[in-house]
Amino acid sequence: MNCDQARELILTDAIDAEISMDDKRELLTHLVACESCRLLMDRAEADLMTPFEQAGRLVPPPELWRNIERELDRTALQTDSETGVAGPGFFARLRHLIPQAVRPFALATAVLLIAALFSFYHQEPPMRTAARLSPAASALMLICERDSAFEEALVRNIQFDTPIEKLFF
Amino acid sequence: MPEISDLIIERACSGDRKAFEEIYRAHSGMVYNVAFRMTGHLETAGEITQDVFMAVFRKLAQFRGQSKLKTWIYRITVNTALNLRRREAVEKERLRAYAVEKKVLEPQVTPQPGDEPFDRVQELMMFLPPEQRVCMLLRSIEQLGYQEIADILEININTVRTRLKRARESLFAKLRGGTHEL
Repeated sequence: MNCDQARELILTDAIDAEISMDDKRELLTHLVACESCRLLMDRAEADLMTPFEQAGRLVPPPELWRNIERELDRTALQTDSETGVAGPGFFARLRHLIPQAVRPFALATAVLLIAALFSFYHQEPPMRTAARLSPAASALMLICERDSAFEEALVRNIQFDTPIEKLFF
Repeated sequence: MPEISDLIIERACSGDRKAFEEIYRAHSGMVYNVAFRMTGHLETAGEITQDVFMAVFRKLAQFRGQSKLKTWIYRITVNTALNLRRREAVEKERLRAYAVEKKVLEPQVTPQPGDEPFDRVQELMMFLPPEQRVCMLLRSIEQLGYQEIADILEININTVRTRLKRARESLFAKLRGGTHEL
């Protein structure tokens, strides 16, 4: 190990106690032989580690929590007036309401329901409408939509009894 | 720093103010100190702490638990402090440009003893560029490991090592060349 490699280790892994056993062994061997690197190691610990480790810690002022509480109240009120949902958001509350074990089933059910609705509303219009109408109404609708084969079949089976019916049909 | 259980996080998610206060009590000291060491101002540190906990409240439902809550809050704190510094730098530059245009002289503000607890460690911290300062702060003051720092800053562990080395070289140069004798 040369002085550059030793210097790099001293300023990082060695003083931060992140050094591997192999590097530590090599560094110690180098330090025994190199006085300038030994001096650097001593100074690094004294100047760059100890003062930072002993730096005082500040305590947050008590009014800080009161300010945050006020801000939280304001946000909750805003959410209430904008969406009608209080608290941290609709989905967060929903997530909390549904037990964790049931969530995958709830999600799967929701997905299946959406898929079924989607496929139903994407059928061909006559089929979709026919499914919702009575047989007489769908027959009338098919005539209106000019389904010629059906119209002819229907007309063939109709008795035109009165003169006015005969005139029009 | 007491560990916050998943139950408290779930309760805080559903809007339980007491549970959220527990999270605040456990982490506010760390947030406030990091914010102060990053900015050097007590008032700004208070503003950042408030912003951080409002962000934690808003985003807690998105916290998936892949990282520790502490790491997640550290990340929000560091990002909030760095963004604030960027905004301040832009604002300062705009004011300077305005002053030059209007030929207005900027008042020279010098930190006075008693204005802020401007201790020697803080003076050294403020000497470093923000990306080196945050690494020094998390390693030497908050005593976090390299991997944890890398996770918080979302950078490679070797980048953490490089930034620490450069920061310490700069501090050595300052201590040898300047008037500071720690």
